[in-house]
Amino acid sequence: MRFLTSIVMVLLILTISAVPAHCRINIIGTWGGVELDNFLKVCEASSVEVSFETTRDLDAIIETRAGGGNLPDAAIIPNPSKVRDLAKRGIIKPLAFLNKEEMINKYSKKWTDMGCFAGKIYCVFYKVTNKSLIWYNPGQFSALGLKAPVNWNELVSLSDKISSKGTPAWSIGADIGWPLTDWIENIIAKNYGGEFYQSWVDHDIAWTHADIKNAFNIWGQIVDKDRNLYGKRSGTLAETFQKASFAVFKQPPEAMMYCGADFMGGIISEGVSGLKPGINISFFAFPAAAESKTSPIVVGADAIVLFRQGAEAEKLVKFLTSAQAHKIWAGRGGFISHNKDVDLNVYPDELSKKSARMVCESDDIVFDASDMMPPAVGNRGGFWDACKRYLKNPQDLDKILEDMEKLAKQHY
Amino acid sequence: MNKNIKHLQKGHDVKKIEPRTYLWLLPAFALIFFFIILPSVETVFISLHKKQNTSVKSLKDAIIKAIERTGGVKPSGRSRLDKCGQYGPAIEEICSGLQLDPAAAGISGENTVQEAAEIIAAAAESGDGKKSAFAPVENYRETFSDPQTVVALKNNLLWIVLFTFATVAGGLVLAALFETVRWSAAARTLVFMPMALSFVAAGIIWAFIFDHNPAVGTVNALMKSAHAIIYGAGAAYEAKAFLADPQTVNYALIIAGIWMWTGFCVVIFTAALRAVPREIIEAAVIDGANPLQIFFHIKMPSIRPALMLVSTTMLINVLKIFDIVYSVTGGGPFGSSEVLATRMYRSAFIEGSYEQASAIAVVLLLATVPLAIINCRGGITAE
Repeated sequence: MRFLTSIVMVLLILTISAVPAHCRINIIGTWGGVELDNFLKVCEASSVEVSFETTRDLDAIIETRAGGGNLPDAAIIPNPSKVRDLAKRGIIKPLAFLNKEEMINKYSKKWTDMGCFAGKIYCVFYKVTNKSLIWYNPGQFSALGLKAPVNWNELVSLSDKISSKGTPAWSIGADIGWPLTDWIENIIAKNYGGEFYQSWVDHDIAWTHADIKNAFNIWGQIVDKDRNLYGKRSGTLAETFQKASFAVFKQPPEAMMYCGADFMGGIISEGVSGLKPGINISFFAFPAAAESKTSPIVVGADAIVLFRQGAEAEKLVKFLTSAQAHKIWAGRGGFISHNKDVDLNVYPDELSKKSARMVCESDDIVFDASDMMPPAVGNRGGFWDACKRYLKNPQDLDKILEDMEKLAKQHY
Repeated sequence: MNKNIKHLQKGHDVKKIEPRTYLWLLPAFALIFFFIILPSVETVFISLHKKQNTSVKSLKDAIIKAIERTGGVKPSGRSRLDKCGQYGPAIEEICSGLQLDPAAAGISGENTVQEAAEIIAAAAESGDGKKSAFAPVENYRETFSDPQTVVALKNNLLWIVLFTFATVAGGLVLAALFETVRWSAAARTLVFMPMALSFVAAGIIWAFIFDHNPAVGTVNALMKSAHAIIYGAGAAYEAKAFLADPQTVNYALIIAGIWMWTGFCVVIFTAALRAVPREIIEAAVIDGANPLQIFFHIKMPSIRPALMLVSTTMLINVLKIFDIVYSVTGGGPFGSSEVLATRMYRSAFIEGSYEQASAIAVVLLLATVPLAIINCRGGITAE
């Protein structure tokens, strides 16, 4: 009898502990450290209890947990291609509680459409990255009498001018390929416009298209010269993107410019001490093509998706679309908002403000292509490696693009 | 329990084992069944099937073509259906091709061509539409005709040859030498030490050792000093990026692997060499055999079972090599250091093709099974 009672007791305790006291929602994502602290502060403000699971292998975790029927409530995903894939397979749920018109008013049609699949909203973008930036040291520039260029031709001649004096103009870290893809994306967007860019992303035009080839060759005007690159081409291919960015801000500088997204500001300030925004660290916009009228900017963004619908999850997602949710994190730093109602004065530093202004004021944005294409095409093994191969051997371009076209045909 | 297993293996006294003994083994069998046999069978099953993958892009192209044929205008992906004239028949045609009910799909004139394609794709992949057809060779053919898998296969062969030879031969030589030195225990510990590290940690150490910056990378630092000695201190040294060059990256990784596993071989060989009866060696010495003759004609034949065991263990090890490659290069540059296990990981989790990944897994399994059998039988005869 005692045995039976104890079993009943154990079962009772188990059932009680299995029913959570609060409705807590589980989110999975790559955010950790300060980013996660900031996000949890935002969740706190929404009065939704959140437990966050940080992982470096998001895709793998989602796939295995989807297979095992053990998905969390939500995920923060950085690549829209994954969002679309999950939506197609019915793994994530449409956010039917959001009003499309309202979203278009709050953000823009472009931003809203990017989160849609089959005409329904599937994700809400939260935390934007501006990828059309070139970092430099303004103090160093003015000491040498150099000026930030306004178009591509000026950028090329500036590079030549700097490199001819001995210091390489550029530091590019390309041990993993994605920092290089930002270059090609910017060049394609700025030379051929957002429309063309989108058809390239959708693979409506081939990789072997003359303009794509041309974009690589335009990039070649800078990277095809060893003296333009810190560590030459071989060193560039072995360097991490973090260390490459430090080279520009060291004393004495080992290079003069670094092309990278706005989050590089935080990484550089951690790696090189004593930098003051605006004085010895700043950025200028990736220059427009000389003869082009528009100059779209390339952005990336994290997006929240729901695997399961529920009142708490709905409340959180709705809150994340509000200007208030954006203001909280923006005010804490390391966050760029694309919400037009967020006052630029909430940003704690000049550089975030400058980057946010670029994102909000431009009605012409394109999303990071490597994150939009199917991963096999856009990531390692595909676009990343194509850029690296070009950097190593520019004369192989035709073969590289043919390989990309083959890969795209297989995976779209 | 150990005794009982031995009885089982030797095949006598089976009758004496009470049913209760099997009860003790049950958890082990259950674990083996649920975590090894069942997943293996499932992997084989997946690799023999092809899941229907509905590509939004090809659906979109099909809709555009169909509208062009039936309606006369060529729409773009972003044009609204009601602006394309007669879009109904085109959608119906595509839907019926996929055995879908066009009305249930819920496509309206307000949708764009792109959206219509997405709706149809989602409908085809959900519920009953998710078919997987039996296709015994498709996955294998596709995977092993993929240039990236071919590179991985070649790299695996390189690993098999270099890694197995170097660890086994190196382990044997070191074990034989350690027998004769005074501080042999300390020396063995030193060689065995890498085994105590997590492979990922060891991988990161080697990433530093091979770093192209001489201030960080040990190899480049050594080469720089050697360069300075040979060509004079003023001569410019061009650092080698071992891990970023497709020609050197595999060798660099294999060296790291050898460093990690040689210690294991040394320990096994040392134990085996110790077990060689002193009397035989003494007799050989009296007969006037020199150390080399003793090694090749007496010690080597005596430790043959150990040699088999170590070789097969190393072969199995190298077939499933993953950690070092994944943590140091991730398969790069340009996929040149990819091995089958990392390729499998990428197929499944990055490219989302479980079928192709399963095909690789099955090939790896088939390659390891004979080795595992040899390994086990070698172990038993050694007893």
